[in-house]
Amino acid sequence: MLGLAAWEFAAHHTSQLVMAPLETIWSSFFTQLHSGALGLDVATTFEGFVIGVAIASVGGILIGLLMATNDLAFDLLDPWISALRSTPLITIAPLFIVALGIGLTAKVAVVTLVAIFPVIINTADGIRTADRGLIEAAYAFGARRRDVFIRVLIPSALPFIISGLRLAITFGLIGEVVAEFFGSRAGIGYMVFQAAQTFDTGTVFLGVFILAAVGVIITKLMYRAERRIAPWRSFDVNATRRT
Amino acid sequence: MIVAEHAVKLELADVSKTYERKGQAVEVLDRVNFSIYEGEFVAIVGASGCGKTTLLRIVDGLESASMGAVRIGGKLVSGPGRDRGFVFQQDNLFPWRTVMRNVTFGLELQGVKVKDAREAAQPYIDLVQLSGFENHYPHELSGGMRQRANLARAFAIKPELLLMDEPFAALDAQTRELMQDELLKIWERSSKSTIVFITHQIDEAVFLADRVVVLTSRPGRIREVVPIEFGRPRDLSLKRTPEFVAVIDHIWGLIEKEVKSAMISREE
Ligand SMILES: Nc1ncnc2c1ncn2[C@@H]1O[C@H](COP(=O)(O)OP(=O)(O)OP(=O)(O)O)[C@@H](O)[C@H]1O
Ligand SMILES: [Mg+2]
Repeated sequence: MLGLAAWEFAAHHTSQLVMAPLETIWSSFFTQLHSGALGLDVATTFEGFVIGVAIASVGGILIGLLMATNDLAFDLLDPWISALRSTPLITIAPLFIVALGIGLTAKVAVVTLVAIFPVIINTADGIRTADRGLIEAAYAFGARRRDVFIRVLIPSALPFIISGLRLAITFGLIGEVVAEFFGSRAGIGYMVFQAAQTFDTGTVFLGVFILAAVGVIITKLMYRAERRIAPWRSFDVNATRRT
Repeated sequence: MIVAEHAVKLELADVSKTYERKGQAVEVLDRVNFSIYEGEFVAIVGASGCGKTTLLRIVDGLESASMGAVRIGGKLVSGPGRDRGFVFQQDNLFPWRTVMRNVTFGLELQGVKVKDAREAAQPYIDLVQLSGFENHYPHELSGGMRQRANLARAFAIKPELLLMDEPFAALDAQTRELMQDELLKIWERSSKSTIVFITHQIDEAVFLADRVVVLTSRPGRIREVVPIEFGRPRDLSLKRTPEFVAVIDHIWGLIEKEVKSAMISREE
Protein backbone atom coordinates (compact mmCIF):
# COMPACT_ATOMS: atom_id res chain seq x y z
CA MET A 1 0.00 0.00 0.00
CA LEU A 2 2.79 2.35 0.98
CA GLY A 3 4.47 1.47 -2.29
CA LEU A 4 1.40 2.46 -4.29
CA ALA A 5 1.11 5.76 -2.43
CA ALA A 6 4.77 6.51 -3.10
CA TRP A 7 4.19 5.64 -6.76
CA GLU A 8 1.32 8.08 -7.01
CA PHE A 9 3.30 10.80 -5.32
CA ALA A 10 6.26 10.29 -7.64
CA ALA A 11 4.05 10.10 -10.73
CA HIS A 12 2.36 13.40 -10.04
CA HIS A 13 5.60 15.19 -9.30
CA THR A 14 7.71 14.06 -12.23
CA SER A 15 7.34 14.22 -15.96
CA GLN A 16 4.52 12.21 -17.49
CA LEU A 17 7.13 10.81 -19.84
CA VAL A 18 8.97 9.07 -17.01
CA MET A 19 6.24 8.04 -14.63
CA ALA A 20 2.56 7.39 -15.15
CA PRO A 21 -0.06 7.75 -12.44
CA LEU A 22 -2.02 4.60 -11.66
CA GLU A 23 -5.18 5.96 -13.34
CA THR A 24 -3.35 6.23 -16.65
CA ILE A 25 -2.03 2.69 -16.38
CA TRP A 26 -5.48 1.49 -15.42
CA SER A 27 -7.11 3.19 -18.38
CA SER A 28 -4.53 1.80 -20.82
CA PHE A 29 -5.37 -1.58 -19.39
CA PHE A 30 -9.04 -1.16 -20.38
CA THR A 31 -8.32 0.28 -23.79
CA GLN A 32 -5.92 -2.51 -24.62
CA LEU A 33 -8.26 -5.12 -23.20
CA HIS A 34 -11.28 -3.96 -25.19
CA SER A 35 -9.41 -3.66 -28.47
CA GLY A 36 -8.34 -7.29 -28.06
CA ALA A 37 -4.70 -6.24 -28.39
CA LEU A 38 -3.87 -7.14 -24.80
CA GLY A 39 -5.22 -10.66 -25.14
CA LEU A 40 -3.19 -11.21 -28.30
CA ASP A 41 -0.04 -9.75 -26.75
CA VAL A 42 -0.28 -11.90 -23.65
CA ALA A 43 -0.97 -15.03 -25.70
CA THR A 44 1.94 -14.32 -28.05
CA THR A 45 4.39 -13.75 -25.22
CA PHE A 46 3.12 -16.81 -23.39
CA GLU A 47 3.59 -19.00 -26.45
CA GLY A 48 7.19 -18.08 -27.16
CA PHE A 49 8.12 -18.12 -23.50
CA VAL A 50 6.56 -21.50 -22.69
CA ILE A 51 7.95 -23.30 -25.72
CA GLY A 52 11.41 -21.81 -25.24
CA VAL A 53 11.57 -22.56 -21.52
CA ALA A 54 10.26 -26.07 -22.08
CA ILE A 55 12.99 -26.80 -24.62
CA ALA A 56 15.60 -25.22 -22.36
CA SER A 57 14.42 -27.28 -19.38
CA VAL A 58 14.38 -30.64 -21.05
CA GLY A 59 17.50 -29.97 -23.09
CA GLY A 60 19.35 -28.40 -20.16
CA ILE A 61 18.60 -31.30 -17.83
CA LEU A 62 19.70 -33.86 -20.42
CA ILE A 63 22.91 -32.01 -21.27
CA GLY A 64 23.62 -31.43 -17.57
CA LEU A 65 23.16 -35.12 -16.78
CA LEU A 66 25.35 -36.09 -19.70
CA MET A 67 28.11 -33.71 -18.63
CA ALA A 68 28.05 -34.88 -15.04
CA THR A 69 28.21 -38.56 -15.89
CA ASN A 70 30.36 -38.69 -19.01
CA ASP A 71 33.90 -37.34 -18.90
CA LEU A 72 34.17 -37.00 -22.65
CA ALA A 73 30.97 -34.96 -22.84
CA PHE A 74 32.23 -32.83 -19.99
CA ASP A 75 35.57 -32.12 -21.65
CA LEU A 76 33.85 -31.23 -24.92
CA LEU A 77 31.11 -29.03 -23.50
CA ASP A 78 32.59 -27.42 -20.42
CA PRO A 79 34.78 -24.81 -22.20
CA TRP A 80 31.75 -23.64 -24.15
CA ILE A 81 29.50 -23.52 -21.14
CA SER A 82 32.10 -21.66 -19.09
CA ALA A 83 32.62 -19.13 -21.85
CA LEU A 84 28.95 -18.61 -22.57
CA ARG A 85 27.56 -18.68 -19.02
CA SER A 86 28.92 -15.23 -18.20
CA THR A 87 28.28 -13.68 -21.60
CA PRO A 88 25.16 -11.53 -21.73
CA LEU A 89 23.67 -13.65 -24.50
CA ILE A 90 20.68 -11.40 -24.76
CA THR A 91 22.88 -9.03 -26.77
CA ILE A 92 22.94 -11.43 -29.69
CA ALA A 93 19.15 -11.63 -29.83
CA PRO A 94 19.04 -9.32 -32.88
CA LEU A 95 21.30 -11.75 -34.76
CA PHE A 96 18.75 -14.47 -34.25
CA ILE A 97 16.02 -12.32 -35.66
CA VAL A 98 18.17 -11.52 -38.68
CA ALA A 99 18.99 -15.19 -39.15
CA LEU A 100 15.59 -16.69 -38.45
CA GLY A 101 13.28 -13.88 -39.40
CA ILE A 102 10.49 -12.26 -37.43
CA GLY A 103 8.28 -14.77 -35.70
CA LEU A 104 8.01 -17.61 -33.27
CA THR A 105 11.14 -19.54 -34.29
CA ALA A 106 13.54 -16.69 -33.60
CA LYS A 107 11.89 -15.89 -30.26
CA VAL A 108 11.95 -19.50 -29.13
CA ALA A 109 15.61 -19.69 -30.11
CA VAL A 110 16.45 -16.60 -28.05
CA VAL A 111 14.47 -17.83 -25.02
CA THR A 112 16.05 -21.27 -25.22
CA LEU A 113 19.53 -19.84 -25.52
CA VAL A 114 19.31 -17.59 -22.47
CA ALA A 115 17.35 -20.09 -20.36
CA ILE A 116 19.32 -23.27 -20.99
CA PHE A 117 22.59 -22.38 -19.25
CA PRO A 118 21.38 -22.16 -15.68
CA VAL A 119 19.62 -25.51 -16.16
CA ILE A 120 22.73 -27.22 -17.55
CA ILE A 121 25.02 -25.77 -14.91
CA ASN A 122 22.73 -26.48 -11.97
CA THR A 123 21.95 -30.01 -13.09
CA ALA A 124 25.62 -30.85 -13.55
CA ASP A 125 26.59 -29.22 -10.25
CA GLY A 126 23.77 -31.00 -8.43
CA ILE A 127 25.01 -34.36 -9.64
CA ARG A 128 28.65 -33.60 -9.04
CA THR A 129 28.16 -32.30 -5.50
CA ALA A 130 26.12 -35.29 -4.37
CA ASP A 131 27.25 -36.44 -0.92
CA ARG A 132 30.01 -39.08 -1.23
CA GLY A 133 28.79 -40.73 1.94
CA LEU A 134 25.33 -41.31 0.49
CA ILE A 135 26.75 -42.71 -2.74
CA GLU A 136 28.93 -45.04 -0.71
CA ALA A 137 26.02 -46.06 1.48
CA ALA A 138 24.08 -47.03 -1.63
CA TYR A 139 26.99 -49.13 -2.92
CA ALA A 140 27.37 -50.73 0.48
CA PHE A 141 23.75 -51.86 0.26
CA GLY A 142 24.46 -53.52 -3.06
CA ALA A 143 23.49 -50.76 -5.48
CA ARG A 144 24.82 -50.86 -9.01
CA ARG A 145 25.85 -47.78 -10.97
CA ARG A 146 22.37 -47.43 -12.41
CA ASP A 147 20.73 -47.66 -8.97
CA VAL A 148 23.09 -45.01 -7.63
CA PHE A 149 22.23 -42.73 -10.54
CA ILE A 150 18.48 -43.09 -10.10
CA ARG A 151 18.26 -43.37 -6.34
CA VAL A 152 21.05 -41.08 -5.16
CA LEU A 153 22.37 -38.74 -7.85
CA ILE A 154 19.03 -37.64 -9.29
CA PRO A 155 17.36 -36.97 -5.91
CA SER A 156 20.51 -35.11 -4.74
CA ALA A 157 20.41 -32.96 -7.84
CA LEU A 158 16.68 -32.31 -7.75
CA PRO A 159 16.75 -29.16 -5.60
CA PHE A 160 19.56 -27.77 -7.78
CA ILE A 161 17.59 -28.58 -10.91
CA ILE A 162 14.57 -26.77 -9.52
CA SER A 163 16.63 -23.64 -8.81
CA GLY A 164 17.99 -23.93 -12.33
CA LEU A 165 14.46 -24.03 -13.69
CA ARG A 166 13.55 -21.01 -11.60
CA LEU A 167 16.41 -19.06 -13.17
CA ALA A 168 15.46 -20.40 -16.61
CA ILE A 169 11.97 -18.98 -16.18
CA THR A 170 13.26 -15.57 -15.16
CA PHE A 171 15.86 -15.40 -17.94
CA GLY A 172 13.40 -16.88 -20.43
CA LEU A 173 10.85 -14.15 -19.76
CA ILE A 174 13.49 -11.48 -20.25
CA GLY A 175 14.65 -13.22 -23.43
CA GLU A 176 11.13 -13.35 -24.78
CA VAL A 177 10.44 -9.69 -24.14
CA VAL A 178 13.74 -8.52 -25.60
CA ALA A 179 13.22 -10.69 -28.67
CA GLU A 180 9.85 -9.05 -29.11
CA PHE A 181 11.44 -5.59 -29.06
CA PHE A 182 13.20 -6.36 -32.30
CA GLY A 183 11.45 -9.19 -33.97
CA SER A 184 7.74 -9.46 -33.36
CA ARG A 185 4.43 -7.97 -34.37
CA ALA A 186 2.73 -8.80 -31.09
CA GLY A 187 3.53 -9.65 -27.50
CA ILE A 188 4.06 -7.70 -24.33
CA GLY A 189 7.58 -6.74 -25.34
CA TYR A 190 6.25 -5.43 -28.63
CA MET A 191 3.49 -3.55 -26.83
CA VAL A 192 5.97 -1.90 -24.46
CA PHE A 193 8.38 -1.05 -27.26
CA GLN A 194 5.66 0.48 -29.44
CA ALA A 195 4.24 2.45 -26.52
CA ALA A 196 7.66 3.78 -25.62
CA GLN A 197 8.12 5.06 -29.19
CA THR A 198 4.87 6.98 -28.96
CA PHE A 199 5.50 8.20 -25.40
CA ASP A 200 2.52 6.24 -24.13
CA THR A 201 3.94 5.83 -20.63
CA GLY A 202 0.73 4.30 -19.27
CA THR A 203 1.00 1.34 -21.61
CA VAL A 204 4.70 0.96 -20.96
CA PHE A 205 4.01 0.54 -17.27
CA LEU A 206 1.05 -1.71 -17.95
CA GLY A 207 3.49 -4.07 -19.69
CA VAL A 208 6.02 -3.78 -16.90
CA PHE A 209 3.36 -4.51 -14.29
CA ILE A 210 2.11 -7.55 -16.15
CA LEU A 211 5.64 -8.91 -16.46
CA ALA A 212 6.35 -8.23 -12.79
CA ALA A 213 3.13 -9.96 -11.76
CA VAL A 214 3.89 -12.97 -13.95
CA GLY A 215 7.39 -13.14 -12.46
CA VAL A 216 6.09 -13.05 -8.89
CA ILE A 217 3.39 -15.64 -9.54
CA ILE A 218 5.73 -18.06 -11.29
CA THR A 219 8.36 -17.76 -8.57
CA LYS A 220 5.71 -18.42 -5.90
CA LEU A 221 4.48 -21.46 -7.82
CA MET A 222 8.01 -22.75 -8.23
CA TYR A 223 8.67 -22.47 -4.49
CA ARG A 224 5.47 -24.34 -3.84
CA ALA A 225 6.42 -27.02 -6.38
CA GLU A 226 9.84 -27.28 -4.78
CA ARG A 227 8.29 -27.88 -1.39
CA ARG A 228 6.13 -30.64 -2.85
CA ILE A 229 8.83 -32.27 -4.94
CA ALA A 230 11.63 -31.87 -2.40
CA PRO A 231 9.99 -31.69 1.04
CA TRP A 232 13.26 -32.56 2.80
CA ARG A 233 14.64 -29.26 1.59
CA SER A 234 12.17 -27.16 3.55
CA PHE A 235 14.51 -27.53 6.48
CA ASP A 236 17.43 -26.15 4.50
CA VAL A 237 15.35 -23.17 3.48
CA ASN A 238 14.48 -22.47 7.10
CA ALA A 239 18.07 -22.90 8.12
CA THR A 240 19.27 -20.31 5.65
CA ARG A 241 16.47 -17.95 6.55
CA ARG A 242 17.39 -18.09 10.20
CA THR A 243 20.94 -17.00 9.54
CA MET B 1 25.03 -77.02 16.19
CA ILE B 2 28.58 -76.74 17.47
CA VAL B 3 29.93 -77.21 13.94
CA ALA B 4 27.96 -74.27 12.56
CA GLU B 5 29.04 -72.07 15.44
CA HIS B 6 32.64 -72.67 14.65
CA ALA B 7 32.33 -72.21 10.90
CA VAL B 8 34.53 -69.33 9.81
CA LYS B 9 32.45 -66.47 8.43
CA LEU B 10 35.12 -63.90 7.72
CA GLU B 11 38.75 -64.59 7.06
CA LEU B 12 41.44 -61.95 6.76
CA ALA B 13 44.66 -63.39 5.38
CA ASP B 14 47.73 -61.13 5.49
CA VAL B 15 45.69 -58.05 4.65
CA SER B 16 47.89 -55.01 4.05
CA LYS B 17 46.99 -51.59 2.75
CA THR B 18 49.25 -48.84 1.51
CA TYR B 19 48.02 -45.49 0.27
CA GLU B 20 49.93 -43.31 -2.13
CA ARG B 21 49.98 -39.71 -1.03
CA LYS B 22 51.98 -37.12 -2.93
CA GLY B 23 54.27 -39.84 -4.19
CA GLN B 24 54.83 -41.18 -0.69
CA ALA B 25 53.61 -44.56 0.43
CA VAL B 26 51.56 -44.47 3.64
CA GLU B 27 51.33 -47.86 5.25
CA VAL B 28 47.96 -48.15 6.97
CA LEU B 29 47.46 -51.85 7.61
CA ASP B 30 50.22 -54.38 8.05
CA ARG B 31 49.51 -58.07 7.51
CA VAL B 32 46.30 -58.43 9.48
CA ASN B 33 45.43 -62.08 10.03
CA PHE B 34 42.18 -62.93 11.70
CA SER B 35 39.14 -65.14 11.48
CA ILE B 36 35.66 -64.44 12.73
CA TYR B 37 33.16 -67.23 13.31
CA GLU B 38 29.57 -67.34 12.25
CA GLY B 39 27.27 -65.57 14.70
CA GLU B 40 30.18 -64.01 16.53
CA PHE B 41 30.30 -60.40 17.73
CA VAL B 42 33.81 -59.01 17.35
CA ALA B 43 34.82 -55.50 18.35
CA ILE B 44 37.92 -53.76 17.04
CA VAL B 45 39.59 -51.04 19.08
CA GLY B 46 42.68 -49.01 18.33
CA ALA B 47 44.13 -45.54 18.32
CA SER B 48 42.67 -42.93 16.00
CA GLY B 49 44.08 -43.23 12.50
CA CYS B 50 45.33 -46.79 12.94
CA GLY B 51 43.31 -48.08 10.01
CA LYS B 52 40.07 -49.37 11.55
CA THR B 53 37.78 -47.74 9.02
CA THR B 54 40.10 -48.81 6.21
CA LEU B 55 39.97 -52.39 7.43
CA LEU B 56 36.20 -52.38 7.54
CA ARG B 57 35.92 -50.82 4.09
CA ILE B 58 38.17 -53.52 2.71
CA VAL B 59 35.96 -56.18 4.29
CA ASP B 60 32.93 -54.59 2.68
CA GLY B 61 34.66 -54.40 -0.69
CA LEU B 62 34.38 -50.60 -0.85
CA GLU B 63 38.15 -50.59 -1.08
CA SER B 64 40.63 -53.26 -2.07
CA ALA B 65 43.58 -54.51 -0.07
CA SER B 66 47.06 -53.82 -1.41
CA MET B 67 48.05 -57.32 -0.42
CA GLY B 68 46.39 -60.33 1.13
CA ALA B 69 42.89 -61.69 0.82
CA VAL B 70 39.49 -61.28 2.43
CA ARG B 71 37.11 -64.23 2.30
CA ILE B 72 33.51 -64.26 3.40
CA GLY B 73 32.03 -67.73 3.75
CA GLY B 74 35.06 -69.01 1.89
CA LYS B 75 34.56 -66.70 -1.11
CA LEU B 76 36.98 -63.95 -2.05
CA VAL B 77 35.56 -60.45 -1.66
CA SER B 78 35.80 -58.40 -4.84
CA GLY B 79 33.21 -55.68 -4.21
CA PRO B 80 30.26 -54.71 -2.02
CA GLY B 81 27.58 -57.33 -1.75
CA ARG B 82 24.02 -57.66 -0.63
CA ASP B 83 24.99 -60.20 2.04
CA ARG B 84 26.69 -57.42 4.00
CA GLY B 85 25.28 -54.47 5.86
CA PHE B 86 27.31 -51.40 6.73
CA VAL B 87 26.55 -48.90 9.47
CA PHE B 88 28.62 -45.80 8.86
CA GLN B 89 30.32 -43.47 11.30
CA GLN B 90 27.93 -40.74 10.11
CA ASP B 91 24.37 -41.96 9.77
CA ASN B 92 24.26 -41.44 5.98
CA LEU B 93 20.49 -41.68 5.79
CA PHE B 94 19.02 -40.48 2.51
CA PRO B 95 17.56 -37.05 3.33
CA TRP B 96 14.88 -37.36 0.65
CA ARG B 97 13.55 -40.63 2.02
CA THR B 98 11.34 -41.06 5.03
CA VAL B 99 12.41 -43.38 7.83
CA MET B 100 10.37 -46.17 6.29
CA ARG B 101 11.83 -45.69 2.83
CA ASN B 102 15.34 -45.49 4.23
CA VAL B 103 14.86 -48.77 6.02
CA THR B 104 13.45 -50.44 2.91
CA PHE B 105 16.31 -49.14 0.72
CA GLY B 106 18.35 -52.35 0.73
CA LEU B 107 15.26 -54.46 0.17
CA GLU B 108 14.23 -52.30 -2.80
CA LEU B 109 17.62 -52.93 -4.37
CA GLN B 110 17.01 -56.63 -3.97
CA GLY B 111 13.82 -56.21 -5.98
CA VAL B 112 11.41 -56.76 -3.09
CA LYS B 113 7.98 -55.24 -3.84
CA VAL B 114 7.20 -52.00 -2.00
CA LYS B 115 4.41 -53.52 0.05
CA ASP B 116 6.43 -56.57 1.05
CA ALA B 117 9.45 -54.41 1.82
CA ARG B 118 7.35 -52.29 4.17
CA GLU B 119 6.03 -55.34 5.92
CA ALA B 120 9.53 -56.73 6.28
CA ALA B 121 10.90 -53.41 7.54
CA GLN B 122 8.22 -52.69 10.13
CA PRO B 123 9.50 -55.12 12.78
CA TYR B 124 12.94 -53.50 12.66
CA ILE B 125 11.44 -50.03 12.93
CA ASP B 126 9.50 -51.25 15.97
CA LEU B 127 12.62 -52.88 17.34
CA VAL B 128 14.57 -49.61 17.28
CA GLN B 129 11.52 -47.86 18.74
CA LEU B 130 10.76 -45.64 15.81
CA SER B 131 7.15 -46.75 15.39
CA GLY B 132 5.10 -43.66 14.67
CA PHE B 133 8.03 -42.00 12.92
CA GLU B 134 7.84 -44.04 9.71
CA ASN B 135 6.88 -41.01 7.64
CA HIS B 136 9.35 -38.58 9.17
CA TYR B 137 12.35 -37.34 7.23
CA PRO B 138 15.82 -37.70 8.76
CA HIS B 139 16.09 -33.98 9.49
CA GLU B 140 12.99 -34.27 11.64
CA LEU B 141 14.69 -36.78 13.93
CA SER B 142 17.17 -36.39 16.78
CA GLY B 143 20.72 -37.72 16.39
CA GLY B 144 19.89 -40.81 18.42
CA MET B 145 16.78 -41.51 16.37
CA ARG B 146 18.73 -41.13 13.14
CA GLN B 147 21.32 -43.59 14.33
CA ARG B 148 18.53 -46.03 15.28
CA ALA B 149 17.01 -45.67 11.80
CA ASN B 150 20.49 -46.34 10.46
CA LEU B 151 20.63 -49.57 12.49
CA ALA B 152 17.19 -50.62 11.29
CA ARG B 153 18.25 -50.02 7.69
CA ALA B 154 21.23 -52.32 8.12
CA PHE B 155 19.32 -55.01 10.01
CA ALA B 156 16.39 -54.99 7.57
CA ILE B 157 18.41 -56.67 4.83
CA LYS B 158 19.14 -59.50 7.28
CA PRO B 159 22.85 -59.31 6.54
CA GLU B 160 24.95 -62.37 7.19
CA LEU B 161 27.75 -60.01 8.07
CA LEU B 162 27.11 -56.64 9.68
CA LEU B 163 29.93 -54.09 9.65
CA MET B 164 29.63 -51.18 12.04
CA ASP B 165 32.03 -48.22 12.10
CA GLU B 166 31.75 -46.33 15.39
CA PRO B 167 28.00 -46.10 14.96
CA PHE B 168 27.46 -44.46 18.36
CA ALA B 169 30.44 -42.11 18.38
CA ALA B 170 28.34 -39.04 17.69
CA LEU B 171 25.88 -39.71 20.51
CA ASP B 172 25.97 -38.38 24.06
CA ALA B 173 27.07 -40.79 26.78
CA GLN B 174 23.56 -41.62 27.99
CA THR B 175 22.08 -42.25 24.56
CA ARG B 176 25.14 -44.28 23.68
CA GLU B 177 24.61 -46.65 26.63
CA LEU B 178 20.96 -47.10 25.73
CA MET B 179 21.92 -47.80 22.14
CA GLN B 180 24.47 -50.42 23.19
CA ASP B 181 21.81 -52.19 25.19
CA GLU B 182 19.40 -51.81 22.28
CA LEU B 183 21.90 -53.20 19.80
CA LEU B 184 22.46 -56.37 21.83
CA LYS B 185 18.72 -56.88 22.12
CA ILE B 186 18.13 -56.40 18.40
CA TRP B 187 21.02 -58.70 17.59
CA GLU B 188 19.82 -61.40 19.95
CA ARG B 189 16.24 -61.16 18.72
CA SER B 190 17.14 -61.08 15.03
CA SER B 191 18.91 -64.02 13.50
CA LYS B 192 22.26 -63.20 15.13
CA SER B 193 24.29 -61.97 12.20
CA THR B 194 28.05 -61.98 12.47
CA ILE B 195 29.06 -58.49 13.58
CA VAL B 196 32.29 -56.55 13.27
CA PHE B 197 32.03 -53.44 15.41
CA ILE B 198 34.60 -50.65 15.48
CA THR B 199 34.81 -48.31 18.43
CA HIS B 200 37.06 -45.96 20.38
CA GLN B 201 35.32 -46.78 23.65
CA ILE B 202 36.91 -49.76 25.34
CA ASP B 203 33.93 -50.29 27.63
CA GLU B 204 31.62 -50.34 24.61
CA ALA B 205 33.75 -53.02 22.97
CA VAL B 206 33.88 -55.18 26.09
CA PHE B 207 30.18 -54.82 26.81
CA LEU B 208 29.13 -55.82 23.29
CA ALA B 209 31.64 -58.30 21.99
CA ASP B 210 32.59 -61.96 22.25
CA ARG B 211 36.14 -61.01 21.37
CA VAL B 212 37.94 -57.67 21.28
CA VAL B 213 40.69 -57.16 18.72
CA VAL B 214 43.25 -54.58 19.79
CA LEU B 215 45.14 -52.93 16.93
CA THR B 216 48.48 -51.18 17.19
CA SER B 217 48.79 -47.60 16.01
CA ARG B 218 49.55 -47.01 12.35
CA PRO B 219 50.34 -49.18 10.55
CA GLY B 220 47.58 -51.23 12.14
CA ARG B 221 48.62 -54.70 13.23
CA ILE B 222 46.85 -57.02 15.61
CA ARG B 223 48.24 -56.38 19.05
CA GLU B 224 46.12 -58.88 20.91
CA VAL B 225 42.77 -60.62 20.73
CA VAL B 226 40.97 -60.54 24.06
CA PRO B 227 38.16 -63.07 24.61
CA ILE B 228 35.26 -61.67 26.61
CA GLU B 229 33.74 -64.40 28.73
CA PHE B 230 30.65 -62.68 30.16
CA GLY B 231 27.43 -64.61 29.54
CA ARG B 232 24.48 -63.36 27.51
CA PRO B 233 22.03 -61.72 27.61
CA ARG B 234 24.07 -58.91 29.13
CA ASP B 235 22.64 -55.81 30.67
CA LEU B 236 24.18 -52.46 31.47
CA SER B 237 24.72 -53.29 35.15
CA LEU B 238 27.54 -55.56 33.93
CA LYS B 239 29.61 -52.44 33.38
CA ARG B 240 29.68 -51.77 37.12
CA THR B 241 31.13 -55.19 38.07
CA PRO B 242 34.79 -55.56 39.12
CA GLU B 243 35.34 -58.30 36.53
CA PHE B 244 34.27 -55.93 33.78
CA VAL B 245 36.52 -53.19 35.06
CA ALA B 246 39.44 -55.63 35.20
CA VAL B 247 39.03 -56.48 31.51
CA ILE B 248 38.87 -52.79 30.65
CA ASP B 249 42.07 -52.16 32.58
CA HIS B 250 43.81 -54.95 30.74
CA ILE B 251 42.84 -53.63 27.32
CA TRP B 252 43.56 -50.06 28.29
CA GLY B 253 47.05 -51.17 29.31
CA LEU B 254 47.51 -52.66 25.86
CA ILE B 255 46.56 -49.60 23.89
CA GLU B 256 47.72 -46.88 26.25
CA LYS B 257 51.15 -46.86 24.70
CA GLU B 258 49.64 -46.95 21.21
CA VAL B 259 47.30 -44.05 21.86
CA LYS B 260 50.11 -42.02 23.35
CA SER B 261 52.42 -42.63 20.43
CA ALA B 262 49.59 -41.81 18.03
CA MET B 263 49.04 -38.51 19.82
CA ILE B 264 52.71 -37.66 19.68
CA SER B 265 52.94 -38.44 15.98
CA ARG B 266 49.92 -36.23 15.36
CA GLU B 267 51.50 -33.29 17.14
CA GLU B 268 54.57 -33.49 14.94
N1 LIG C 1 41.97 -42.33 0.68
C1 LIG C 1 43.05 -42.19 1.47
N2 LIG C 1 44.21 -41.73 0.95
C2 LIG C 1 45.30 -41.58 1.73
N3 LIG C 1 45.35 -41.87 3.03
C3 LIG C 1 44.23 -42.34 3.60
C4 LIG C 1 43.02 -42.51 2.86
N4 LIG C 1 42.06 -42.99 3.69
C5 LIG C 1 42.66 -43.08 4.89
N5 LIG C 1 43.96 -42.71 4.85
C6 LIG C 1 44.90 -42.71 5.97
O1 LIG C 1 44.87 -43.99 6.53
C7 LIG C 1 44.99 -43.93 7.93
C8 LIG C 1 43.90 -44.75 8.59
O2 LIG C 1 42.64 -44.17 8.32
P1 LIG C 1 41.30 -44.78 8.93
O3 LIG C 1 40.20 -43.91 8.52
O4 LIG C 1 41.22 -46.20 8.57
O5 LIG C 1 41.59 -44.63 10.48
P2 LIG C 1 40.66 -45.02 11.72
O6 LIG C 1 41.40 -46.03 12.51
O7 LIG C 1 39.31 -45.38 11.26
O8 LIG C 1 40.65 -43.66 12.51
P3 LIG C 1 39.47 -43.03 13.41
O9 LIG C 1 39.45 -43.83 14.65
O10 LIG C 1 39.96 -41.64 13.66
O11 LIG C 1 38.20 -43.09 12.63
C9 LIG C 1 44.94 -42.47 8.30
O12 LIG C 1 46.25 -42.07 8.65
C10 LIG C 1 44.50 -41.76 7.06
O13 LIG C 1 45.14 -40.54 6.93
MG1 LIG D 1 37.38 -44.40 11.40
